[in-house]
Amino acid sequence: MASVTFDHVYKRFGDVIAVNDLNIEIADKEFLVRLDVERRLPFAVWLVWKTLPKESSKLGIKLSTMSLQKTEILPWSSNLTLSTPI
Amino acid sequence: MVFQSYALYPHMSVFDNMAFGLKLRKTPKEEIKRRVQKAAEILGIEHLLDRKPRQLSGGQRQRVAVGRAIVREPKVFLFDEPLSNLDAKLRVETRANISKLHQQLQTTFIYVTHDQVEAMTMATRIAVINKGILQQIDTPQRLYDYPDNLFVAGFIGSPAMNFFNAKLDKQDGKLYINGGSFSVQIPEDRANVYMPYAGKQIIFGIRPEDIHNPEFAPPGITAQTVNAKVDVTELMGNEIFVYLKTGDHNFVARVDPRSRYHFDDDVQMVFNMANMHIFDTETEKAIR
Repeated sequence: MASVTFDHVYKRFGDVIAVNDLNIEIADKEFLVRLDVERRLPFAVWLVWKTLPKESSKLGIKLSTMSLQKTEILPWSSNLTLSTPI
Repeated sequence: MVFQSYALYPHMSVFDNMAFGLKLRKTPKEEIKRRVQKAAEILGIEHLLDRKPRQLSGGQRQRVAVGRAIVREPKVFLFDEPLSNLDAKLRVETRANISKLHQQLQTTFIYVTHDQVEAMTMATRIAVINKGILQQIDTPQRLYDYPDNLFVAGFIGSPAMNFFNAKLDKQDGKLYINGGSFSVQIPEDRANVYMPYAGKQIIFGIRPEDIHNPEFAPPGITAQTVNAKVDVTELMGNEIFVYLKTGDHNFVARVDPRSRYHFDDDVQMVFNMANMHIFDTETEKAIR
């Protein structure tokens, strides 16, 4: 069980703003849907997953202000394939 | 983590795909078996455990992908458009299964989608994002009933909310929305909120389901009549979408299927003003 906090999360790809100062608190057991209007940008979830091991706290998970390097981000595409299943 | 693409190993059985992460973590064999069996039971795929991914349908593959996440007993499930590769029927079915899964597991779910129906049907709360910016975060019902701005109002709901550029007129202490070709009164119990906007331009919003055929209008609504001309009708079986024109405005109504409308008919429609929305033209924020 865990709560998740997005605390001033940003992500940009050049001119494309993927996440712009996102602040959300997700409660334990909550079913939160991130409804992205544009289909090209739904990788906040990936961003969370990528950050969990580094930022996990005892019970909650907190994502603090961060700017990931471009090389760390797996760009979303409609045919996303992974070399290693998660 | 559950992706849009299932990311299953094609040469491994369903059991091995689900067990893979646990094997890497050197989980004892008995424990792996127990967890995989339990996840398979939850997902109704016990009979598929010996099959290879190529022998499964799209929906079954997605369930295996979910199962692979379940066996790890995560604190948070992350779904990235998991239904996008499924056909319409399977999508509805899998949507219900994911909701059921959330109830069973009682775990935090974060789910990314661009499909508002998925969001509305599954979420306890929805975060609406546009161009990376959070527009509103609320329960599905509150997003629908009380959109914070023009964007959310137009995005949530199908057909979308109708918007009219209009002016607020004050007459005899009452407020009217003047759309040029129509004038409708703001309910008196809400007029105080909008008084400061008297004489100003606003954007008037009303959902298609709040526009009725007078013949079949539900009792007790705050009805205001608008004259319009029928442009197009779309029979949906259980309802009819009627596309109408009044002056320069086009709008759509979702009316009772017993209604009989034809192209170019001059008709009177009833707006339920209790459910109207008014937005500031400059900030596009809801005024309430």
